[in-house]
Amino acid sequence: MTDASPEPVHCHCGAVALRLAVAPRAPINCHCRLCRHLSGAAFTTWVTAKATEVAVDGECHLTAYHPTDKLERLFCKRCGTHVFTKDKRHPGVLGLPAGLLDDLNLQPPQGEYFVSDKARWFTPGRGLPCFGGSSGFEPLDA
Amino acid sequence: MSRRHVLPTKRWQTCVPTLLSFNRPHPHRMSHRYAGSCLCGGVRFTLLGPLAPIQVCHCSQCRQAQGGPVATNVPVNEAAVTFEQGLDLLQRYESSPGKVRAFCRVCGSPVFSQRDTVPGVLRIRAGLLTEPVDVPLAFHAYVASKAGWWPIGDGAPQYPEAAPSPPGAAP
Repeated sequence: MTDASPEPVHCHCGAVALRLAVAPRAPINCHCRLCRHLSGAAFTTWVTAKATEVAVDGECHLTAYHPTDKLERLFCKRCGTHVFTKDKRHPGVLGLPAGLLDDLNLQPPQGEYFVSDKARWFTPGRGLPCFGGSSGFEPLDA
Repeated sequence: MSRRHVLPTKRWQTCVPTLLSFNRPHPHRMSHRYAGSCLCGGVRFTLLGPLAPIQVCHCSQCRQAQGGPVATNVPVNEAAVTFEQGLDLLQRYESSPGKVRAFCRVCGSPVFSQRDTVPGVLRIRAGLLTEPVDVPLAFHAYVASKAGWWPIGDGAPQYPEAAPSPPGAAP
């Protein structure tokens, strides 16, 4: 695990900053439709952190959007960067998009999830365990 | 004797599927409409195919803007894009001089980017397209600055910086 972020990480325009009190955990990749539309990419890479481990500066620049009645996605209203997501099913936990951390030495993702729903044009990362099926979490052959 | 009798039957039969395949357009080259939308559905658009292969960008700006290790973009001529609704929801942000990233102001989905140096071309975020989209990957660009924590899993060409051809160029 890498050291805790000594410097804050920013959204693209710098209006919002996050400071992590602990080192980021290993991420996961999610290929579900919601995560594709959330990022505009083939998948979203998530790192979870306890809300108490993350300090947020510039919250006034955040806009909230609720993709479902349980999820709250917060993004910078100036540059559009997705900063974090809250899930009512996991109170006290934040989902951070790993690309925001700009940490080139994060641990490799633990796995690729919702692979059965993935974009046809994209191949999951080589050697990562794959999960899918109706739940998105059933082990699949690589 | 006609030519048909000169060719051995077996060889003629072998040729038929080859010729038919040759005449048939590749699926991703066929004229086709592709629907896309942002996460909240406020921005809806249609792309008139054929689509260019999808470009994967590993630069640090794209990681920050998309939140993942890569951005996946498909370059489309403006004339082939129809916004059915939500043009007024697009918020533009100049992420670097001459480059604008447009996102939905309601849900934050990145929708496209556009460069002054490549006029008339929108780089649509491929993750917004309604599946199935049977288009191959073109290449991985800016691999020299890629995230070390995500392994590339396909055989598309990799370039340390920009791809040799203009990355925003239309097909």
